[in-house]
Amino acid sequence: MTRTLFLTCWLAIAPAVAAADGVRHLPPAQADAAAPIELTASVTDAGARAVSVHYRTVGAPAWAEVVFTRAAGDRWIAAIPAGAALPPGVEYYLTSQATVADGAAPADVVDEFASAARPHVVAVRVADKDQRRQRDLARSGGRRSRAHAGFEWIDFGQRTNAAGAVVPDQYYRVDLDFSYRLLAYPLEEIRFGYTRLEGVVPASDRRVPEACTPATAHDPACRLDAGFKVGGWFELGLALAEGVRLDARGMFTANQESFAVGARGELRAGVADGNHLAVAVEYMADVGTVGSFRLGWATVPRLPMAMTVEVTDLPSSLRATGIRLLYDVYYPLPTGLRLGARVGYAARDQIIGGPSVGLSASYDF
Amino acid sequence: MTTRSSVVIALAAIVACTATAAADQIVVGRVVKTDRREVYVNLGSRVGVDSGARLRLKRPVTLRHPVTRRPVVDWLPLGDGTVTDVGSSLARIALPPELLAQVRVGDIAEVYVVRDDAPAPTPVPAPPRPVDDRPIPAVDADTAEVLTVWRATTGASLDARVAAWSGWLAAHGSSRFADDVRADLEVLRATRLALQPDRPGRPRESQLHVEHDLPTRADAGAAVPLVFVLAEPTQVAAAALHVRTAGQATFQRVELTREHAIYLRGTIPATVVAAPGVEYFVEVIGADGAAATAYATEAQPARIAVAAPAVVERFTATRQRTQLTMIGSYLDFATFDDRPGSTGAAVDRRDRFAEAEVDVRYRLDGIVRGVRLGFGSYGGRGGFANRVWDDANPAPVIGFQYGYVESELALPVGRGPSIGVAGRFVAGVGREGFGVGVAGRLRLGDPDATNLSLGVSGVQQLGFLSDLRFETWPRPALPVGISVAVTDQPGNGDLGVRLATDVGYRLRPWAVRPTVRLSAGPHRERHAGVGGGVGLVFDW
Repeated sequence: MTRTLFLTCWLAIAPAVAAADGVRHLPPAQADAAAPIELTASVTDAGARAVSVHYRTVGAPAWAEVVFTRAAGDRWIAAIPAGAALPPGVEYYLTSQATVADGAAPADVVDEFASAARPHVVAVRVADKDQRRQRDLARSGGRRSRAHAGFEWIDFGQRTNAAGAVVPDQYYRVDLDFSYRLLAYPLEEIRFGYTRLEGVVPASDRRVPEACTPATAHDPACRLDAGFKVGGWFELGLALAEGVRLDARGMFTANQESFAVGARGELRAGVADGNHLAVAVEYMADVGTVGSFRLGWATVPRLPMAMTVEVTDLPSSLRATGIRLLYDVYYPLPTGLRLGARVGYAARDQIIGGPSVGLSASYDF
Repeated sequence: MTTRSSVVIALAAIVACTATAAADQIVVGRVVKTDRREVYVNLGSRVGVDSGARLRLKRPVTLRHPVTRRPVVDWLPLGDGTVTDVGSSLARIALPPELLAQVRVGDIAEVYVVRDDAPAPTPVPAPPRPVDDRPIPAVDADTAEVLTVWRATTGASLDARVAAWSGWLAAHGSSRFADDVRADLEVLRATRLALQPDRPGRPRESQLHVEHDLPTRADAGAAVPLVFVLAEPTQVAAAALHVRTAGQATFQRVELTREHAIYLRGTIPATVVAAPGVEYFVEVIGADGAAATAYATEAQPARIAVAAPAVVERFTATRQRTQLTMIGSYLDFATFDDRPGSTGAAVDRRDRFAEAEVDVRYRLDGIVRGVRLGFGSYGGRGGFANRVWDDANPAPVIGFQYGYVESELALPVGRGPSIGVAGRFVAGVGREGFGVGVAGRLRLGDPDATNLSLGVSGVQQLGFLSDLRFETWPRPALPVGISVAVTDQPGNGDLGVRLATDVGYRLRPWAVRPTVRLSAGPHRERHAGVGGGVGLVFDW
């Protein structure tokens, strides 16, 4: 009795439970970007009314309308144009309007599925790679190319011996390069460049040879010219995942005596121009090896920064391993120009060390 | 059928159902004991109960009136049983196993007693009531519908109540009574679950089918709107979506709104949409009041794949991720060492060091809690408690300039304070050239809040150091750190103890924090001294 009573009351107070009387539509779960979204509906009394879909891209101000057309039987279709099918989605609702005799007042428009106030949203998806490419381009401001120039002066201090011979331990480095973001994953970027690295070092691992005197300090037995004038290199930027990048570089260097080869690898997590962690190894025959760890952060507005710890024997593999501590600050401009400055400290032992300074500029276009 | 005619029928039915017999008697008692096989009630032959009599059990329940929100005592029917043995004041009742599991002490027991030998007492005419000719208070349509459902469900089963209120809610989601009804529904559902201890799942499966196009994937943190189309709309009173992040144990209930009679619409909350996916099923309340699954099931839910956030998301440039620390300190182990030399004259027992560090810590989410990179410079002289220095035997000079990289991992512990393990690699140059070192730290607690940590380090040319450090924030802007360390620094000398207290003050939230350090360093009882330091912390 109670159940019967309940049902009686329920049917009386909930008219919404009445069966649908004509338009039945199963919304698509999702749609592909830049492709028409086909909607189907079964309309049982199709001759008596016109069914329309009202749609707009999420965020668009105005609604557009397409009228359903008969496909077969009671199955009717309408297509939201590809131009509206953009991420993150399309919102729509269905209405119907009873057909009336010529000259009669038009009938009311009735919501059949969702409504203008509460439309249904179909998520519009792009392929994973396309989505990733869009994000990467957004991070670079839509610019794919970069020209970069950097100069750095590194001083490990002047070395002397008991006889008073003084030999500096220093070098400079110039890097000019161009990179292009292919975004053809996993190959994300290609880069090629020119490097010049020249310096002067004592002709021993740390100290000036004891036999050297102030008069012979410039002799090759006391002082070596290190580095190379021309180094060309080509680098592939492989994106192992979004935010994980391996840069692999091959290098040829030429000095007055011969050709030599070199290589560089950097594994980086994060965004190169923003927050990131990177570990890198660079080897150049006769010149030396560098291992470094860098932490970059972009949490200070408009001033991304980085700190680097570098273990190196540059500019000559004859030299003892030293350490460099570097601090970089950059100033990116809206035009795509990015200026950078570097200061640091370099030492091969605790007794003698020297400063490092550098400037860089890059332009994205 | 119009609403008005339905209400009239309903009220007539209520009157019909609630009319009581005038002659015989319904005796009411309580369940006083439950056993594994039977229950006992405090009704016996003294009140006319016989063996073989049928007995009805009810559960008293206190509900809230949907309009006035005042407590209302009502009852829920549990089922019927049979009296098997009767004493003067107790009766033993046999019940079906399902009902036996539900009944508990305090439930109401009613027995219909037929008294052949005792004529029904002549009804005493009720005194005439004063005529209340005040007008019946008028209520709006919204209130009237709520009251109608309330009256219709009084004394009804739990399934019927849940179905009625769910149906009302689906059609009146924006009513001012909706929130209260939603809360009451949760109580009714919880009560229903409690009455089904052996059947935590759905009461039954049925053919209440819905059509639905299952999305294949979704973006983490983005709500997912869903639509279900009812195949048999007249058979469904209401519906709910049960959602969870894949891997979670329980589902979260989301009310489905009914629109245009055949559509059920709802949204998977953004908070649930996370990798590796989101799972859901649809439960409907049938017109008969019974619940059933209509799309997927609790055991086999539908699943939408959600991709894990890319690594790059962990490096989003949000504030408060970066901390820059600069600190310099000095400690003299021989400040109070005034021991004279063998000749009685004052001697040089210098034993001191100074250090400065700059580091940047980058906070990360996930198992890697943070990464730190820093530079440091260390210089000292001496290192021994009982040695005397002179021109022939000068105090050794120790120096080391270094960089370091540190990573701290958050161990996945279920409860208690968080546990972190940090490892540090040190590379630098000393007077003897290049040297390396390592350090490790075990931390209990949040590194940015109260924590206790134990650290050990060893660096070539410098020596080793182990320390126990406690950090806390007695005031929101006042961090305090206390540490005690054992070390042979500087320069692999004698073992000594270093005590230090750091007190900071945060000038602005997540901004500059100057810090002062006071330290003391006894190498031996007579060879001890003090030191200090200053620091600056920036949180960006």
